[in-house]
Amino acid sequence: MTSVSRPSTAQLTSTIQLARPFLTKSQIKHAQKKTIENFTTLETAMIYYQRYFLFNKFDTNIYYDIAITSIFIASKNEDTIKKLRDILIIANQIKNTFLTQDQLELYRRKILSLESKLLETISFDFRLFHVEELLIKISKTLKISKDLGYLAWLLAYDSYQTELALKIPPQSISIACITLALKLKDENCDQIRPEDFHTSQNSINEALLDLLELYINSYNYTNLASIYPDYQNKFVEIRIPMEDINGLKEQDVSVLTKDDYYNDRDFSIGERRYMLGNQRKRLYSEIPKN
Amino acid sequence: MLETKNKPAPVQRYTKSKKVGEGTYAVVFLGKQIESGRNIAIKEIKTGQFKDGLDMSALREVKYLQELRHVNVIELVDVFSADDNLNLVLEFLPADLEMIIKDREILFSPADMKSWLLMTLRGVHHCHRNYILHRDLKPNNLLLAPDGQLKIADFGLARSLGSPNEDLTSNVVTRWYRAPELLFGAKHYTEAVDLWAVGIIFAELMLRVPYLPGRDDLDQVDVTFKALGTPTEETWPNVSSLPLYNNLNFYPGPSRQELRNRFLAATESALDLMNGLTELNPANRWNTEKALLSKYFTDLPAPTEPENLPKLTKKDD
Repeated sequence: MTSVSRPSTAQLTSTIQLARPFLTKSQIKHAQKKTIENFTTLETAMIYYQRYFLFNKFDTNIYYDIAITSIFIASKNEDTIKKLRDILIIANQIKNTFLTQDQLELYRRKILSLESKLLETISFDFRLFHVEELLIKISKTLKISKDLGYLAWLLAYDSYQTELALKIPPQSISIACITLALKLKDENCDQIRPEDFHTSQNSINEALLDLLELYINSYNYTNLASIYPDYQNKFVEIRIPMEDINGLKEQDVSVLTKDDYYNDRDFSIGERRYMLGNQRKRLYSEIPKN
Repeated sequence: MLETKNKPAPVQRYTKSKKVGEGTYAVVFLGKQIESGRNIAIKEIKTGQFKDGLDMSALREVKYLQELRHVNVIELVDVFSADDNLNLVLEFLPADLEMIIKDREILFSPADMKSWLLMTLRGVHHCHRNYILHRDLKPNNLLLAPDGQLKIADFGLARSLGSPNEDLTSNVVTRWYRAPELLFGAKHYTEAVDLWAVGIIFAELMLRVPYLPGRDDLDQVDVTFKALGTPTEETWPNVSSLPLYNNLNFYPGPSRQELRNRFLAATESALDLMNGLTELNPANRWNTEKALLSKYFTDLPAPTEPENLPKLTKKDD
């Protein structure tokens, strides 16, 4: 949030664009207000894809292309690079469309221009956050059995269908998945201390509530359902005694509207700068001090 | 509590003056930050229809340098796009260690070498404690600031430490500075590859010529083991399971006396450090912490203060 008065866009030749790794639920809603009309479609997408549509209008003509672009950039950032042409050939096979060489080349150029738009949208922020890696490490630390670890891993995979990755750091999601797996098997989860993992109970609760919402309302669309078809009622049972637990605190809307971060991204400004936002303080301030 | 307190930094403007270099993926210009008058280098990333979008090296540089801040690592001042080009604004660093090594009119004292090696190890230590492998350390990538500070640059091959289930490519690091595990095509390796390169750079500072100049990848294997001995199952358990461990000439390792003859000016503690860094078995090779705490750095002479280090004698322009 900024209180300095800035010159109007018309006179600007240069602007600053921050990268922020985590947003709260209301911040996400606030950003999406201008971009998405259909929330359910978004639930199947992954992080870049979700970040793209925080700031760009959602449109059924383009979501497939954005998914391809997200995969393309992710393949670079994860050091598992693929030629764009190869990705497109597979993508077209899946979609059952046939393209001539010339059409394929045109399509390739279109994705390349979308690539720069997506990179600008994420403010060239290449920091990676993976739930599964931490989940395995934390499970080992807590001496969780392999079966339970596997169950938690399935939950973690489904978590990408929610907005959790936009909201909270991966260790909170990991711990929420482990907690939920323990609860599903009626085991005790008292040994988990959030402060051991640089996180807070509120942030874990936030993840728990979102995961429960996903499994209670959209069970048939989850990966878990394909392996354990009969867990849905168990999630309802787990949710009932959790009526009074709190997730993360939300910012007041009046604060959000003053925050430049949500301004329309103006790609016509000649010079656009990218910085990583310094937002960790918010997360650390919620960790209880010893 | 939920407020973010970061004020946006003032919008900086830059001038771009002369073009100073061109690499495979970028053109480098000199310039100034207008408000502060600070000299900077602008790396303009090339985009073209033949390239597959944003270059991997550019992505890596942005990814790692955005988060690293250390006096011995090059500073990424700014990232901006203008006229559909991506620009990286970096510290302006007029010289590199290769130029100094090649400049025959400069004499190095043992204290000078110690200072450069110390700064290199400090920069590498900072990368490693953030789980980043540089993977292309060589004198040419160790840049020198006008105040004498050495800065590690070119993070185009850098990556974060892989997890055990990930395969890494062994085709990294410029040939002469490539560690034996890379020569053998290992798919899993660690920070030790960077320390090998530092050891070879240390030797090059003393010799003033490249220590292990292989003509090609095959010759590199031979040159390396002729100088340092061929690893065997006894000295490096399981080495024979690496993909390219075959058709080797077996050379004995150098004796202490041979090393003394090879590096006439080196003290015993300098040789200990170099042996630690060029240990063939990566599991036994010294890490940055052990190297930085070695006796070499506490022995006299003390490392030269950066501002008193030798500078280039000729200016090219």
